[in-house]
Amino acid sequence: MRIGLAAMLVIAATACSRRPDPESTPAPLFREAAEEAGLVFRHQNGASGAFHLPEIMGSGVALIDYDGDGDLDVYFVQGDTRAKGNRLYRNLLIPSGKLRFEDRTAEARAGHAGAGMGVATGDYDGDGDPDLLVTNLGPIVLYRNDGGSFTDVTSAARLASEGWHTSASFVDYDRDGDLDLFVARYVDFGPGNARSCKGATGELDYCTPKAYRPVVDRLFRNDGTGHFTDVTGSAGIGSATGPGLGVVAADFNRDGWPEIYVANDGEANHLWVNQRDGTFREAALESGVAFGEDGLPQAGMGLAVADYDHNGAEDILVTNLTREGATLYRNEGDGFFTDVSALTAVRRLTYDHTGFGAAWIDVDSDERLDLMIVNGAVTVMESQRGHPQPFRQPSLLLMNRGAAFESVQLPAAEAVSRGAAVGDIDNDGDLDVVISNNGGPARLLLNQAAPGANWLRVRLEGRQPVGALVSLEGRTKQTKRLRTDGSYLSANEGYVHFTLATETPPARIVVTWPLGRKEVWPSPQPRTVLTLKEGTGQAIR
Amino acid sequence: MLLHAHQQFGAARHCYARLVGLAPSTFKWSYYSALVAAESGSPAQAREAFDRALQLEPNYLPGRVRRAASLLEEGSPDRSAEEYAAVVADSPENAEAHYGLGRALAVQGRLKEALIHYERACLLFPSYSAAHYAAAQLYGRLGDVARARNHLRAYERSSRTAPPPHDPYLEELQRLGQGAQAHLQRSVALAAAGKLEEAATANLEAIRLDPSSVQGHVNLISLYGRLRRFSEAESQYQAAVALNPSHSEAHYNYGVMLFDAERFAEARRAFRKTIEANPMHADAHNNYAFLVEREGKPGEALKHYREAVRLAPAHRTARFHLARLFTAAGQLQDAIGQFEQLREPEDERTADVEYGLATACYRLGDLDRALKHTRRAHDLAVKYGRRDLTGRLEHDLRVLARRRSR
Repeated sequence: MRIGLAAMLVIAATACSRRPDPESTPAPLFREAAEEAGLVFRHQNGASGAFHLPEIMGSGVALIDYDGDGDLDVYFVQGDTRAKGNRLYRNLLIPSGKLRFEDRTAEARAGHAGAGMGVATGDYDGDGDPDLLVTNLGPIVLYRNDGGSFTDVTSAARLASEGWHTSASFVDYDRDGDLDLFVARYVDFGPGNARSCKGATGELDYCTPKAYRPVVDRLFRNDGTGHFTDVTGSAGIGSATGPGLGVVAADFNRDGWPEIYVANDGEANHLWVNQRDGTFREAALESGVAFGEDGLPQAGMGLAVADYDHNGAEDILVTNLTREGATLYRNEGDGFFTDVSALTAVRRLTYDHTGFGAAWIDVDSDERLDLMIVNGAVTVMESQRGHPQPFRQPSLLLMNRGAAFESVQLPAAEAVSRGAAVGDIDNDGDLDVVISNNGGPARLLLNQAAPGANWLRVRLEGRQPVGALVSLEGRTKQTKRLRTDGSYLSANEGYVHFTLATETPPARIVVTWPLGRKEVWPSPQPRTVLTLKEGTGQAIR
Repeated sequence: MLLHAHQQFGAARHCYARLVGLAPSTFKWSYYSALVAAESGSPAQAREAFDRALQLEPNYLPGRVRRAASLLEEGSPDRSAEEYAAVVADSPENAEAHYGLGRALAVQGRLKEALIHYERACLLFPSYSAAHYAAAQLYGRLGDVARARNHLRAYERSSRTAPPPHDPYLEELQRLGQGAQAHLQRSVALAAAGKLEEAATANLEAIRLDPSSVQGHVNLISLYGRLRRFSEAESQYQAAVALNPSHSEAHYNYGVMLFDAERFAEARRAFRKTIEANPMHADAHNNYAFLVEREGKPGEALKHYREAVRLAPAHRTARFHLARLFTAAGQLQDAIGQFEQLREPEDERTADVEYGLATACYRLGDLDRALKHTRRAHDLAVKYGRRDLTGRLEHDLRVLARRRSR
C-alpha cells in the first residue's frame, strides 16, 4: 500500500544633597544586579519564525513576599509552553543579610507551565498572605498561598475563563470586604486562527491586534467563602469589547468606590465607573481618557497611576507605540482628565519608544514622582533588521522637575522589555525595579540614587486594605493608594512607599480604609517600616 | 528627502543639516529640517529650524502653524498662543490654526476662549475630528453636557479626518514617500486578490520611486515566479541580494520560483540559503526537506521536516511529510502519533492523513485499524471529490477485507 500523497510544497509565502546636582556628572541612579544576585530567569517567547502575535507580547513579573519573612521574592511568568514554566525566586536577604535569590519554584509548587502572560497578587482569601493569579493565552490559574507554598485552587474557586488573558487586578469593587478579580483579555487569537501578517510593504512581521477581534474583559465577584462568580455580564463589563492589556483600579472620581481603567491596544481605552450597586458604566470618552488629545486611539499597553501633581486626585499614565508617545492624563479632580503629555514633555521624551511596564517612583527623593517606563518594539525595527531580536529599545527614566519631565540614562541595556515591577527589594528604603524581557534575561535595577535620603514605608493591616488611601502630611502632602496592580502584566510590592525631602518628621499620616473609615497616626518616624492596623489609629471624619 | 519620506528620520536629519550648511538661504532645507525634527519628537529643534526657515519666508503660513505647534509641544503655550493668534489674524479661515489656538488657550486655563476657537475650527471644517473631540472634552468639564454630547456625536461621525494642510513643500515630500509605499501596499493588495500582472506593475512603480526598496524586489521575485516570467524573477532576485545578501525572503521566494521552473537543485540551494539567513524559517525547512528527499536523502529530509514541525507546530504539510517518512523508516508508532495530530480540523487533505494512518496500522499488523482508517479515507475522498484517491482506496478496501476474512 502506498500513501496517497498530494504534492504539498508550501509555495505561497512572500511575503545629602540627596538630589543629583545637574551641574556635576551624576552618579548612576540604578545598578544592574540580576546575575550577581542569582536572579537568572530567562524568558522564552517560543518564537518560531512564524511571527505569531503572542510571542512578542509577554511576560510579566511580580514582587511578592510569599513566605512572609519580610523581604520581597520574585515571581516570573514564562511564555513558551515548552520551557520549564513560571519561576519563583526566594529572596534570602532575611535572614542572611545578603541579597541573593534561589529558585524555589518546585518547593513552593508555583511553576505553572502555560503560554504565560501576566501575574496579579492579592490576598483573596483574607488569611494574611498574598495569593497569585497567573494569566495565560489559555485558562487563568489561581494559586492560594498556604503560608509559603501554593495550591492551584482555580477549579475549587470556580474561576474559569478561556481566551487570551493579560493584566489582572484584585479589587474590592463591591466593598464587601473581600478582593474581587478583574482580568483583561486581548483578542480572539487561538490555535485555529493564527494569522500570518506582513508589514505594509510585504515583509513578514507581527500582526497588529486589528487582525483579530477584540474581546470582553472578565469580572469575577468573590463571595467571601473562597468562591468566585463570573459577573461580567450582570456588572455591565460585557457591554464593551477592547484589546485589553493594562489594568488598574482606583477611585478616580473620589466617591469612595473603585473604578477600573483598562488600556486597550489600538482602540478606545475603557474607564469603568463604579455605579455603587454592583455595576459599572463605561465612561472613558466623556471623561477624556479614551483617546489621546487629538481624539485618535492609541496602542495602550501599560499603566501607572498616582497623584503625580499632588492635587489629591490620581492621574493616569498610559504607555503606547513608537511615534505615539506615552499619554499622561491629569485628573482634574472633578471626573475629568486633561491630556498633558505635550505640556509635561512626556510625549516628546517617550516618542521614539514602544512602552510597556511603567511605574511612578520618586527616584531622587524630592517628593515628586518620577516615571520609569520599560520599552521594546512590537514590529521589526529597520535599524535592527537581521538581528535575532530586532525589537530592542532602552528603558526610560523621566525625572519630574515640577512643570515638566526630563529624561535621564538608565544602566539597563537595550532589550525587548515588557513587565516591570517596583518594590524595595534590598530593604534599604528606596524602590528598586525588576524587569521581565521578552526572549531574554530578566533585569534587576537596584536604586542607588539617594542613599542618605529619608523614607517611610507603610504596611497596612485591616479587613481588606487594598485600595486604602494613605496621606503623609509633611513638607508636602503626599497621597498614595495601596495597590499592586498597574504596570504591564505585573504586580508591584504591597507596601505604600513615601520619600521625604527633609529631615523633619511628617506631622501625621492619615489612612482612609476601603470601607470608608478614616484614621490618623501622629508623627511617623522617617526611615521606618510602619505597620498600621485598622482600628488602632485615631478616628477622624 | 527620500529618507525623510521613508521615515528614516535620523539619517534624514543628518542630510538636511548638511544641506542647510551648504545652502543656508534655501528655505526648503531649513523647512524640511524642521519638519523632520517635529516628526521625530524633537519640538525644540523643530522650533529652532522653523525660526530659521521663517526668517527666509516669513509669510509661509503652514510653517507658522507648525512652529506654533512645536512651541506648544516644547512647553511654551504663551508663545504658541501668540503665534497661532497671529496666524488667525492673517488667515481667519485657517481651521488648523483655530484648533491650535484653542489647544494653547486651554493649556493656559482660558477654557471659554479655547472653546470659541474649537467651535470656529469645527465650523470651518465640519468633519475636523480632533477639534470636535477637544470641544467635547472642554464642554464636559464646564458642565455643558448637551454641547459635549453634540461634539462627541460629530467626532464619532467624522471618521478621524483633519483639514488638508495646503502645504506645497509637505505635499512634495508626501508624494515622494507615500508614492513608493502606496504602490507597494497596492501591489500586495492586488496580489492577494489574484491580480498578479497589475500587482507587478504597481511594484515596479514602487521600485522606480524608491530603488533602495529591497522588499519591492523581494515581492517581485514571487510575483514574476507566479506569472512564470522566470528570467524577470531572476533579475529581481539579483537586485534584492545586491541590496541585502542575507534577506531570507529573497532567497525563499527565489527558491519557490526555481521550484516552479523545475530547477530543483538550484531551488534546494536557495532554500538552504534561506535557512542560513533565518534558521527559524519553517517553510524553508519544509521545502528543503522535500527537495533533499527527492534527491534520495530521506535522513536529511526527516531532520528538516522535524525542524519545521518544531518551529511551527501548526505546519500541517511538514507534519504530514514527517509522518510519511516515519512510516517509510518503519517508525510506525511515531508516524501514527504525527498522523493523529492531523486528523482535525477536517479538510480536503484529511483523506491523505487517514490513508497514511491506514498504511502505518497495516504495517504494524493491525488490520482492523487499517480497515477503519481506509474506510474513513475513502468517505472523505468521496466527500471532497478526491478522484485521485477514491479508485485506489476502493482497491485497498477490497484487499484489506479479503485479508481480514482469512
